[in-house]
Amino acid sequence: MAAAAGSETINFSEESVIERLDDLTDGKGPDKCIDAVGLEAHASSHIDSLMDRAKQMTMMANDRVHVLREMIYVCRAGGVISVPGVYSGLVDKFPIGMSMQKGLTWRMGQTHVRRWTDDLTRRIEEGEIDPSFVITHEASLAEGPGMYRTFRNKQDGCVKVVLKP
Amino acid sequence: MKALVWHKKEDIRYETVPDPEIEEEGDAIIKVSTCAICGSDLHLFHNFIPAMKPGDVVGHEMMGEVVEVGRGVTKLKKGERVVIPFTINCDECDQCRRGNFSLCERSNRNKPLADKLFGHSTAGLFGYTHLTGGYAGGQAEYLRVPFADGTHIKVPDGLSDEQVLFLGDIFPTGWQAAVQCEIKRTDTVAIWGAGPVGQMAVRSAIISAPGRWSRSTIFPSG
Repeated sequence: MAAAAGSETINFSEESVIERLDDLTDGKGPDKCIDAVGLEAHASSHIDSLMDRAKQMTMMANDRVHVLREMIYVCRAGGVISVPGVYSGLVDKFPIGMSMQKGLTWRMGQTHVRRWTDDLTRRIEEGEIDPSFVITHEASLAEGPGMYRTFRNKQDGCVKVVLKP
Repeated sequence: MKALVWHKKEDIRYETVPDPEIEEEGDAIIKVSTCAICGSDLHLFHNFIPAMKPGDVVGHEMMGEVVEVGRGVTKLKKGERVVIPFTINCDECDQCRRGNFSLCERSNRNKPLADKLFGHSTAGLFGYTHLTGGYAGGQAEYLRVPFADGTHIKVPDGLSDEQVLFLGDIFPTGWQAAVQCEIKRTDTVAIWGAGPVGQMAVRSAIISAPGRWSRSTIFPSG
């Protein structure tokens, strides 16, 4: 789906994200990094992610922040880290020194939805984008509880579920 | 009415709950025509977000038809088709006037609790934790919309539910993530996560970037 939009794709379970990003940027690193994952990062082959998971389970920390650590490491110095992903509380082993030394700019927060929607509604009306491309599953509201699992497990290529009450 | 109701970790049920009613004069009631499950609903499903209560109606991506308005509502009429943003906006406080709609200072009815935990509160949010107001969500047949004058997006004629539903969350969320990057012509943008918000962010980066920009990379979250 992402490749269809004209982007390179990287599968973290099959290849090194940092090496691929270095290759794609001639070693410079991406200028801008967006975290669309949030607090339940699944990169379980990394030791820091396993530690986060253990701390989360024992209530010693709230969030799994492997993606944020990886972004801080790989982002080009002077770059921007933009975080739409949801985080809830406290974390540990956060490389704030690396982020400061590299002069990274952080942008984050819940979305100011209506700041953007007049413009985005116009773009939909004019046919510049049709956000329905993301829908893979449609079901009744009664089927909703099962669809939570389908979505969570990414079964049948599930990316987005819409429900009809 | 029927709704999806949170009980505990990995336990969301389709149940009968009381119909929502007008509680404040600025409220409206929406008959939901289409709603969606968001990635952030999975954080609730997995019980990673504190301050949920058994019986909470979930869902914050929804749209439908206005079926009732309170006496104080001036910008919405019965029969109008609207998408409801996941952030509840009073449109009158200092943050709303600055365009910081997710930081509305009046819509979170549990603001003192959130202020204590985070220093300052976010806006009230639909179908999420009691830290964000504990408002019933839109994975339901009907939804009460507080501050309805500020908390809606009118749907132009001729567009389907599926085309406009995501104006309420994931499209502007991907968009804001991209716009805040202030993408320059020669930038490479890397996006972690190939879920719905990541997909919206890829397209937003491409559309919002300066002319002839074409680099983006995406990192599927598996």
